[in-house]
Formats: sequence, structure tokens, C-alpha cells
Amino acid sequence: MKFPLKPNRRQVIQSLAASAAATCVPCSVRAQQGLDPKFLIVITASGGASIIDAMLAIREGESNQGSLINTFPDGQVLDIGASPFRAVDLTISNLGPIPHLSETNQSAFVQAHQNQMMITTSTGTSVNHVIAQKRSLTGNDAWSGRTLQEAVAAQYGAEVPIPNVNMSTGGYVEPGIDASLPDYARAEVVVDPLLWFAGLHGSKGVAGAPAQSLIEKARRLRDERFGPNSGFGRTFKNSAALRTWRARRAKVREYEAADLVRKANVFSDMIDVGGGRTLADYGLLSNAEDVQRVRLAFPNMGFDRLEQQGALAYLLIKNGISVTVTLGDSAAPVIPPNELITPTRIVDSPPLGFDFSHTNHRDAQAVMWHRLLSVSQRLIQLLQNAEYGGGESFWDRSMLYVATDFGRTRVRAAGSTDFGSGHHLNNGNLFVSPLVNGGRVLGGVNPHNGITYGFDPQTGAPAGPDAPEALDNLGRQMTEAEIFAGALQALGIDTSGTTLPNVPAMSAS
Amino acid sequence: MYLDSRIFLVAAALTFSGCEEQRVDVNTGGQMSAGGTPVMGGISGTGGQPGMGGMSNTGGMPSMGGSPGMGGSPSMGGSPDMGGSPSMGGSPGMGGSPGMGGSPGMGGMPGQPWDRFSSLKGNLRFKGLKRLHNDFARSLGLNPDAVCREVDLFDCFDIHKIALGGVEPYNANIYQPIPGIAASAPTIVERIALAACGTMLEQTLANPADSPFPGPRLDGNRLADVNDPSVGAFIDTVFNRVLLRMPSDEERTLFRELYTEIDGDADSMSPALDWAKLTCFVVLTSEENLFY
Repeated sequence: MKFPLKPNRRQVIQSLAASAAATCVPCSVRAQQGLDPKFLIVITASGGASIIDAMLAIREGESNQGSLINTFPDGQVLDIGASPFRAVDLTISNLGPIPHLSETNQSAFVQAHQNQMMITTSTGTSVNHVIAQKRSLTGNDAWSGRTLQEAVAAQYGAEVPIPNVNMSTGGYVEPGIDASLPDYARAEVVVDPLLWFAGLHGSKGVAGAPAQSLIEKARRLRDERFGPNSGFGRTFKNSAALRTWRARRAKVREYEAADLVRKANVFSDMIDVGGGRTLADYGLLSNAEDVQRVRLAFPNMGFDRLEQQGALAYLLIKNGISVTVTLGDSAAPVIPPNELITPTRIVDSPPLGFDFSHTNHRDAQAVMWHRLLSVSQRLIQLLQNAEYGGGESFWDRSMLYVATDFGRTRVRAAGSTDFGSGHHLNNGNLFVSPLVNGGRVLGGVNPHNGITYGFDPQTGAPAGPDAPEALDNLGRQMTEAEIFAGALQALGIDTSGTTLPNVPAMSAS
Repeated sequence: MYLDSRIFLVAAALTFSGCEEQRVDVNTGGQMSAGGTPVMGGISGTGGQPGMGGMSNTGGMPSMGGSPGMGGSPSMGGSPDMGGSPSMGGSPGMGGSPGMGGSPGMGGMPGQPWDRFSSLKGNLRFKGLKRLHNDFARSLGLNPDAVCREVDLFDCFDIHKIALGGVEPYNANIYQPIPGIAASAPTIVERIALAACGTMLEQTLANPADSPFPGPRLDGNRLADVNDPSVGAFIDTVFNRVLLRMPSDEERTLFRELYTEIDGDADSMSPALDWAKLTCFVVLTSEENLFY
């Protein structure tokens, strides 16, 4: 017998807490559920996007350790207008031993979005990829283990079909552990952004499928008569797994009625799928205007997974399917089709993404930042041009958060531009949104050791070391929980009743 | 504190789980031998002899039928013929799955336990990618590669692998199935089932002699007689191959009624074929087939 006849103290407290939580959801939260959604886009930098290789880049001349830490020749670090952000545009000839000729560009993004960009510095708690990835989304379990996306979906996603779609990888797709989270807020994980749409209809595109009205008869027979009355149905009528299944199954008709299979389809109806047949021949139609927009924005969608994700992210938000989407490169390199491969460029991204920095820090960071900013910019532009209603664009209600595992070590061989780096807890995050305290770097970086310092959560005032030259004095370090809380508060998530810190400095005034 | 905790948990269980369902039976093993003796019904013998639910008939998947350790001592367990009758079916879980033993004092309910039994734990799992793929293919007699292909190109079990509980280590660093059930899983299961049933029927029509499924007697594109034994044989075969048990008379009637509904629907151009597909579809997408 394994009955919990002797529940321990923790089990009892958890039971009480869960019951209390279920009945005591603040009215303000319930009132907001499903209303006036705001949108969270998370783009993940698997491997660790180093903030001092982008907006907080350090000029060698600014540092008393300039040749020994990760700094750039003074002329390579660009100032963007009067903004506090910097950018590094480089010409890359290879990624370690891999031929890769390209021009990387950060300045165009900063130029375009400087007024809605916010950098927050932070110091994480793990240099293990998967753990750090998850903590970048949970604030190190700051809210009972709930992820940022789950929190947004819980508050704004009750009325949309699939509120939380996650196309990223590794620890970034791990679900949160908050047992009180509404089931609808849990992420739908998508690994094939191009073909996922087909799974949103029970029969469309299935050759020889009976008419929908007949399928409905069969479903009713199964769900109302056959299933519940079978021995299995009676025996397991109280199964939690079946309850979840039935709740999910009840949504099938909703998905079909909302025509999600069309709305999430990035293909032209006329695309040839072989044998002279088109998608239209299979009944898999799309919205022509949507398709045209995403194909113009993401021309490499055929082979570039990040572009595929960007296209689907746009369709999900613009078509009211989701309130939060997560996208991000995986460890697999992007290899273009044969006709686009040249002797000087055989991959579009390095293997391991940002983590290729172990082999070739500077170039890997430059190429990966370029990819990340480029796709982000195109997605933002699409959302800026899509009307939400009432004169607002979808972008007016959106936040883009670049989640990163951690930072990278700062040291390098004297003067070297071809060096490898390890994992480092200290780093910073990029947010882009009309909802954040735009045009601000909250905190800063000590040019002498490359370590970022924090800020006052209330005012945003920098809290750097008293004597930057004293390298062991780091100043205030921002926790994962503070950044997590500040992001949610900027999105209007009700965090009252939690133990999250108050970080108004991150919200637009 | 300890006593209070127990009271709280018991109260919570009564509040949230539907009290009328708590008068559950011990499992079949407990009834046959222990005869509903309350104490015996709740202790280790209730699970029945290992494998008893799954042997000697089409019903009762062996793994569900009381794997070693679930059941009790042979002397307390049920006799092997518990699951033997085809009509009894030995449906999964009857043979003594964990936790079916019932609490001391709840007693047995001799007669037809499978009609009244309600598992306290209901410990079920979605079959997941590989089991679904293999089971769909095996039960319909299809090559695994032919079960379902989106737009005749992409293997459905590949492009929908994560939603069905699979992994994608190479391109997404997903090394373990995502916990829970994906939002799109029921939809995907339905479209895979429709495709698979369609393929099965195509093959049956093309080579009836090679098909494990007997074709019902037809009159044009309709069934010649919905009460014809050949219709019952088709239903029985679908049940037998998919659920590993025979249907009850009531279940056969349900599927005959489905035909009547389809036949009366103007959207059906070929009622017999639509009915056969949808009979297969219903059984293939039933919870009984998708969970273990």
C-alpha cells in the first residue's frame, strides 16, 4: 500500500496553499484574464549572448585592462545618436575553421529601435546551459516556478485558442513548475513551424476524409456514448490524464471553427508539393495577404528555422491565436541550400549558436547577434504594420525580450581578436517595447573588468562600484527575480500577492 | 498536526472527487477469491495474479492485466479465467492495475465488476509517439511508413512528434517528452486516425483477400443490411485489432446506429465507406486506445 496515510508537513502545506490559491485569485486578475491582451515575444539566445559584444561594447581605450579583456578597437564601437546604446558592425571571414564571409550589423537595429530599447544588467545563478535557460524565463523560480510566458498567458490568454507557443529549444522550452497555473497557459511546443498548422484541424488536408458533418457524428458517438459507457471509460472516469485529454479534445471544434489551419499557414495555396499537386488541392488554404507579408519579410524561410519561427510568430499574434510566442535558434547550424553555398560561406550560422564562442568568441557573437536582431527587426516591423484596433498596432502592445543563458568570460590573450570564451554569470538583457523604460541602460558596465553593475529598482539610477578601478568591487548586482518581476510589471501582469520585488524602473512611465 | 492533516486530506478528497464514485469495487481478483471480504479486498491480494487480465483472450493488455507486483498472492488472486471470456473483454485495467485494490472496508461487489468499478487513482498515461505509431500500424495492418503522410509527403509522426509526446534531440535539444498533453494532440490524433483508416480501407478494397478486415456486404455504396452478420464482423474485427477485445452487444448497436445516421445524411456520398472509416476512426481515437 502506498497510500499517503502520513502526509508530511510540506504536502499538507502545499495542499492548503493550492486550495487557497484556487479560490483566492484576485478579482482584478480574473477581470483582466482574456481582456486587453499584451503580447510577449521571447527570442532566445541559446549559448549566451554577451551584452558587451553588442549594446554595452567597451572601447579598448576606455579600459585600463583593454588588451586583456573583451574590448573592441575604439573605431569599431559605434555610438547611435544620443542614445546610451552602442553597436558593433563587423566583417566576418570565417567562424573558426568554418568559411563564413558576411557583414554583421547591429547598428541598423539600434538606430531603428533606440527609443524603445532597454538594457537591464543582471547576474544569473547558473552557468549550466539548460538550467540557466530555464532560469532566464522563471527568474530562478521567482513566482512559484512560473515562466514569463506562462504568466502572460495566464493573464491575457484565457480567450485565445493557443495562448502560449514555444518554438525554442532546450531549457527554454521546459515548462514551469507552478502547479496552480491554469492549464490553458502551458506552452504548446512547436519544432516544425512550417508544417505545424496542419495539426490544427482534424480532417482538412486528409485525403478522402468524410464530410465534416459526418465526422461530427462520429465524435459525438465517441465522446458521449461509446467512450463514457465503455468499461475503460467507467473504470478511469476520474483519471486526471483523461480530464486533461477531454479538455484538450473539447478545443478541437474551436480550432476548426476559428480556421486556425488557415491562419497559421505560411504557404501559398499554389505551392507545388509534388506530383503537380498544390496545397489547395489538399484543401489546405492560407490567407494570401498574410503569406505575402511573411514571405517578403522572411525570404529564407525555406531553410532558415529562425525565419520560419519569425513568420509563424507574426501569424500567431496578428491572428489572435496566441499572446506569447517564443523563438530561438537551436544548436544546429543553419545550412543554406546547395545553390546558395559558396566556397567562402557554407553555413549561415555556427553550430551551437552563441555557444560557438568557446571556439571563436568574437565572430560567433557577431553572427548570432546579427541573426537575432535581424529577425527581431522584421518581426517588429510586421507587427507595427498590423492594426490591433482603436488605432493601435500589435507592436504597441508587445514586448520583445532577448533571453540568454548567461554571459561569457571577459578575458582574452593580449590584443587577440580570435579567442574563445567560457560561461559567466554576469551579463545583461535586451528588451524592446513601447511598454518598457525605453532609451535607457539600467545599470552599466565597468570598462576595466567588463562586469556589469545594477540599478535602483525604483528609480533606475545606476548603482555601480564606488571605485571602478578596484576590480573586486562590482557594485549592485541585479538578480534574476528582479528582471523577471520588472518585465512582468511592464506588461501589466498583476504580481500582487506574490513575493516578487517591485521594479518600476523597467516600466514605461 | 498529523491528525489534522489526515482529516484535511480526506475532506479534500471527498470534496473534489465525486463522492458517489468512491463506493468502488475491489478489482476482479479481489472479488473472485476474496469474495468481497472487505479486508481482503483492500490488501495485497486484490490485484490478482500477475497477468490474469490479459491472458487467454483478446482483451486485457498483458501489461495492464496485473504485472508482477501489482497482484497479490495467487491464493488471493482471481482465477485465470477471469479475463477469458471474449464478452468480458478483460479490458485494460480490469486485471489489477496498481491502486485498484480499494480501501479496506469498501468491500466487493460480486457480479459484474467491470460495470461498476471506478479506479481511485486513475493512473493513466498517454501512449505517446512510438506506441501510437506502432499500435496504429499494427492494428490496421499497415506499413508504419504508410499510416499517415501530410500532403502525401511528410510522415505525420515526424512533423507532429513533439505534440504526440516524442523528442527532438538534434534540432531542438528536446531530450525528453514535454510533460502533459499538447493543445494540438487530440486534433493531430484525429487526422492521423482518419488518414490511417482511409489507407486501411483503400487496401481492403483493393485486396480484400489480403486484408485482416472483412468487408461488409454492400448494396452499391450502401450497406446491404446494417444488421447483417458481415457488419458485425467488421465491427468485431476493428475492436479486436485495435482494443484487443470484443465489443459488447450495446457497442455493436451503437455503431450500427452510426450507420443509420450517416446513411441519412445528405453529405455522405458513400455511406458504407464513410461508416467504415468512421467506425475505425472512433475506435482508433477512443481513450481506451490512446491511454494505458
